[in-house]
Amino acid sequence: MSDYKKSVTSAVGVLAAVFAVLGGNVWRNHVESPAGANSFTLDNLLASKNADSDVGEVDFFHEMTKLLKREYVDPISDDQKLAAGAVRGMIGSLGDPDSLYFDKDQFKTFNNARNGNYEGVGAEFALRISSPTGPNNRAGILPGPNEADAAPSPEAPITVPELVVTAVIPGGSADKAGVRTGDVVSYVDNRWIVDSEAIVRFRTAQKAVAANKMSHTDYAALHKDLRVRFDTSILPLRARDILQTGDKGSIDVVWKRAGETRHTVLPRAKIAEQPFQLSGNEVRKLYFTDGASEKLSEAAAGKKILTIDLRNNVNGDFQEMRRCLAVIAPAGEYGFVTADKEKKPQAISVGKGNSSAPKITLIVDKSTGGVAEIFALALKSKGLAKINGGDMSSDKNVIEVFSLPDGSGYSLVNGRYTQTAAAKHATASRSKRHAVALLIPTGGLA
Amino acid sequence: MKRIVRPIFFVLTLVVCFGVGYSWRNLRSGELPTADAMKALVSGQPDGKPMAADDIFKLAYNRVETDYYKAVVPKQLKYAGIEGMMSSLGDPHTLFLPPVAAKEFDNDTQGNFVGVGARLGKDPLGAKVTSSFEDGPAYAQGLRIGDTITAVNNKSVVGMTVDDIISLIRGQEGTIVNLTLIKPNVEKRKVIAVRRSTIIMPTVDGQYLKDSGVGLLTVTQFSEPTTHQFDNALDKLEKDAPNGLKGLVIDLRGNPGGLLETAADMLSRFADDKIVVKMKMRDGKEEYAKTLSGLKRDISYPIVILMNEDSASAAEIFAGVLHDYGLATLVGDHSYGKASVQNIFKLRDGSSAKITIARYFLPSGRDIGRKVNDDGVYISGGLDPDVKAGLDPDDTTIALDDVKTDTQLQAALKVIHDKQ
Repeated sequence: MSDYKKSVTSAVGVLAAVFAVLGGNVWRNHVESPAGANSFTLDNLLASKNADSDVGEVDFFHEMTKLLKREYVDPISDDQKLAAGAVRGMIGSLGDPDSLYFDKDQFKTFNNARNGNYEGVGAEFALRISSPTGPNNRAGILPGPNEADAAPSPEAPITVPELVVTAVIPGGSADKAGVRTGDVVSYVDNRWIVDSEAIVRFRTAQKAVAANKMSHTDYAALHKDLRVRFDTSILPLRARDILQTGDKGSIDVVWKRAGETRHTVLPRAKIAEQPFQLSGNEVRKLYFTDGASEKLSEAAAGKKILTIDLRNNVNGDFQEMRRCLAVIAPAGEYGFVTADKEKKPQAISVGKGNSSAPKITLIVDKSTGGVAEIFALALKSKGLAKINGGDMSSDKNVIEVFSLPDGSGYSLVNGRYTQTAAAKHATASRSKRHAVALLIPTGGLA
Repeated sequence: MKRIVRPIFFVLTLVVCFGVGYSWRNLRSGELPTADAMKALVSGQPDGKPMAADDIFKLAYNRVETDYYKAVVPKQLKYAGIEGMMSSLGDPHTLFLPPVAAKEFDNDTQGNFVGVGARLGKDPLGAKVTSSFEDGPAYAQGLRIGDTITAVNNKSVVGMTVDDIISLIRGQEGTIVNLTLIKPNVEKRKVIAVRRSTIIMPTVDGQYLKDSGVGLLTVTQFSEPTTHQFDNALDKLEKDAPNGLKGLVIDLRGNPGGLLETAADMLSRFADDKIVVKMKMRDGKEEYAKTLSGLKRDISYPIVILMNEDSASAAEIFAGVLHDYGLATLVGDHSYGKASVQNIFKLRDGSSAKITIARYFLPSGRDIGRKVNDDGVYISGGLDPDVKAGLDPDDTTIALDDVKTDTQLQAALKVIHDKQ
């Protein structure tokens, strides 16, 4: 063999060996994540491109799993539980009232409600940031860096997440008790959701007592009231779970509406709404979940006019809504999903569309929110639909929902609906929640 | 012959290389691939599991990073994931500490840190000063117990967590921080400028109660310097009492614990070569912590320990051990109920993992582990007091360790009095 031939052979051999190693690694990725094969890179094999001081997230997770398995006092057998916990931690860190982790039971409730099957008091709830003393849409929830509110005063904005009714199911116990969209839950089964009003009241009293305008006895009584509320407080999402699950017994609830409080005792029961009811030219219960677009397509076929009732519709799936749009609207652009970061707005476009679309009338009210509201606004933007009814919930967040293998899931806000690509920030309606740790006794050194 | 051997050798080498590639993620961390992984190699299918935990994590991480409508800081997202992963174990004491928190934790257990010299608690208006160290720089500027800090460097801290407020107050040694204060019953706010400095934390405070002839030792934490501070304070009390102490009250209310070694050292002042705790490790192995010999003090007076629900960990060990050996009476409320031992694992990037590695049992064999309901509300656990005594949480005139108003201290003194 000539030297040339020899070197070519060994080069080919070395190359083959390298490919075999890479191939083995790729195969491992393939067998362990057939679905997510494209999401995988060779980071795991090649030395981390990060400096030693910054460990890549997957390695970090992987090594942490190993450390816990080796050291934790109880044996850990379920890696998926750790992964779900990690997802919960990441979603929770966003502090976003609409990006939430749902455990297995919560996710079941959420998905049932999306398809018209309700439990509990028969209402839907969401977290909202509100501030009784300050504007609602400030970028920072707590006193901002440039504000002259260094001193606490009853006027300074404080914000605590509230649990707000977004939809009331007709015929359910909340409906019978007169609960309305926009009502705020402040008390559930002997426990208070600590709200900013209580804090404001306490602040006012502190000021009054310092100015000798309030007796120490009255102050002590108020102090006690606030302490009891803190001691027995319930987190808003926990209250949501109590209100939305179960079909036995009844719940004591105090609601707030425009400064007034109402006390109700609501029985828990199951209510099922038949999804997609078509009568004549009217579609009711168009839940934007799997299969809705096919049904809508059938319903719209051959019709000159179509009325769609979008009330009590807050939790739909964005992709299904897009498909629904495509079956009743002609080709074109129907607005954008705009993010609050350096990211190009994504057009909501209909490719083929329906060129012989019927004339559409939409029935909406405050309980029309999320993708249902976007659906209405998209049709309205092209003059394709007449909107009947009052204001909608003005919740235009585009939320994607994902499930995890263990049955839990999470929602993630991808952006907001805007009619034009340039309208960035224009509709900013919500901002980051600042977690207020009211329940955990804390203390420390400064 | 050579003609056949060569290709076979070549193919074998390739197979080995393929195997190395396949097992790389195990090999790089010094272990062999699992049997399940090898099964999957043959079948080409994951073994029943739809997705590996690593991929669930990675997919969610990527989604949040790219699809969430606001920009996220990758490092914080990663840490939040690890925090969530550790809390999924359901043990409140298994925690992830990001680099800053890890350093502070270190400082706290060492008993010194850079700050203004105060202990803060939660308050609706910001942070309540629960103690101001007499040697600290803030005390010199007028910061007193009972004050409320409402702003730091002229930025309001209303509604923030105590931890967040503390991180604003702390900073580089020698720099100045402005604190806005509300003093009790004074309407006008006061702003003080404090120079941050290294604080050696006083963890033991001694007070001779003249009327009853009883010594009162308040131990706020079990850190490295605590044993030394405890000895000094007790020496001083015994010297202060003209006819010897009639009794000793050790106040562990609000003491969150600290180092097991410190608790064992301090217990050595009361008992020679006795078991402090029995630890059950994860492999079923048992280990014992014992007191040392030859350090026992000559004590002829009754000892009462004051505790409450915020007395935890090393504080419970200290109280429980003295109680189990019949050396002290427990007065106050039930304690927290932390019955586990944690180890700190330092990670490559400066963060730490605090992991529960064992459970412990007191000399009597009792398990004092805390049980809570779904909402984290206490059901059972902790040490029960021999004499139950509470404090009215709404009586704003109560000052801890003040004989006139502290009803728990009064109950402790009564126990001592009855033993005379």
